[in-house]
Amino acid sequence: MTTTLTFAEAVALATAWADRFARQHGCRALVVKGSVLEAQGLRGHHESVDVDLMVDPAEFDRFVALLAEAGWHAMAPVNSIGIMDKHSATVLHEKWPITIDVHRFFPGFLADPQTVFEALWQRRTTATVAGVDVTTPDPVGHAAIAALHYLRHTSPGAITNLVDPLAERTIVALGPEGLAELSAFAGQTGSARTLALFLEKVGAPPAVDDPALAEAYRNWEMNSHAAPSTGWLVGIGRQPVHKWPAVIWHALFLTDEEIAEHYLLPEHLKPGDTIFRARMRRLTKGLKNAPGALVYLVRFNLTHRRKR
Amino acid sequence: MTEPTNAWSHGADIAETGTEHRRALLNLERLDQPPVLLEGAAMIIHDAVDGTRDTDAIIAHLTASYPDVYNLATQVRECLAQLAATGIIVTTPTLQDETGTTT
Repeated sequence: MTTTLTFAEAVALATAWADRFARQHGCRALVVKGSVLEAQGLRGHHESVDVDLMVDPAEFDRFVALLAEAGWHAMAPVNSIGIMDKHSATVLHEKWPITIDVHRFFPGFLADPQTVFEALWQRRTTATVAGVDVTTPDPVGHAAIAALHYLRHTSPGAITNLVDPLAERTIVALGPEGLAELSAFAGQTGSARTLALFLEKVGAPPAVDDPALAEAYRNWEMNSHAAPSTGWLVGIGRQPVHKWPAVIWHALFLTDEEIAEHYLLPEHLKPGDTIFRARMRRLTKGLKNAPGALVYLVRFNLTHRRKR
Repeated sequence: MTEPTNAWSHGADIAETGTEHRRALLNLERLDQPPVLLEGAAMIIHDAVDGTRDTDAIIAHLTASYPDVYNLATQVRECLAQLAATGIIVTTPTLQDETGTTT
């Protein structure tokens, strides 16, 4: 007997583990994406490399603390001040080769996270993963989650390769009644505008968002078309001027811990790498991206002003 | 006349995934325990656990299928003990009559 799991084995077992762990601790949680999308007919075969779990937002901090007690420690987040709020914590365990992404909310659902979770929870169903039942969104909720995931950074490639196939599968999986429910769900969760393209592609009835979500939608739009490094510029701009020197310094160099945790991962590692080299590599890339990000921001703000 | 015996069965709450040649298992009743990966002989022994056979019956069953395996009985006993330690298999008391039929 050995314990060296493949990614596929680890993802399946960790999905079952996470679902059971949440239930055991009385925390409502939904397994999202992964093999369940395939089982619900919303995606073809796909090898996931992590587990996604959406938890009751009110229980998020408690749940992440419980995971830490069980050996699943959150990766030190880069204290970036981006366009969108941080929506998840990635946790890893020394005995497992994969990570679990614990979602406090899912980007693109612009309504209050608790409202969104309750809407998804109300529609929950079960799916079989690793031979056991796990709690998951129903195909309506899941189609919306998958579409928002693919639409978070729009590019022609993402539309052709991800959104279009999802739309085709959603039409079949949901049927006319399900598509009408998808529209209602989008309106209920503040995703009528963020999902507008997808709703159009599947032929679902149009949905309407609460007008109070206009600013949140602007942030979504800015983020989904953003050039690399835009988040840092936006974040800096949102800080009081007297904090700019410290914030800019941090944006440029990060802390040693942040560099080690995020830029010296096996997939980024170069021979003879050190924190200094990784930092310089990141800095070079960031400075190269900065002019493009600045141009993007100026254009976005001008366009947005004209719309208003 | 009947004799009590301990038949092995698979744990009731086990997550399982794998292929024809590997099986990865996780005991969901013991979430603090790492997964167990079975290959080769361990997988064959795990397959022989059917809820009716005790250790001797499993050894007899596997000996019939693999008569040339050296020290098969010891291997089976060790593997069953390891699987039992993780809760992947459990014993269920059954009664066995002279014909070997379990009830």
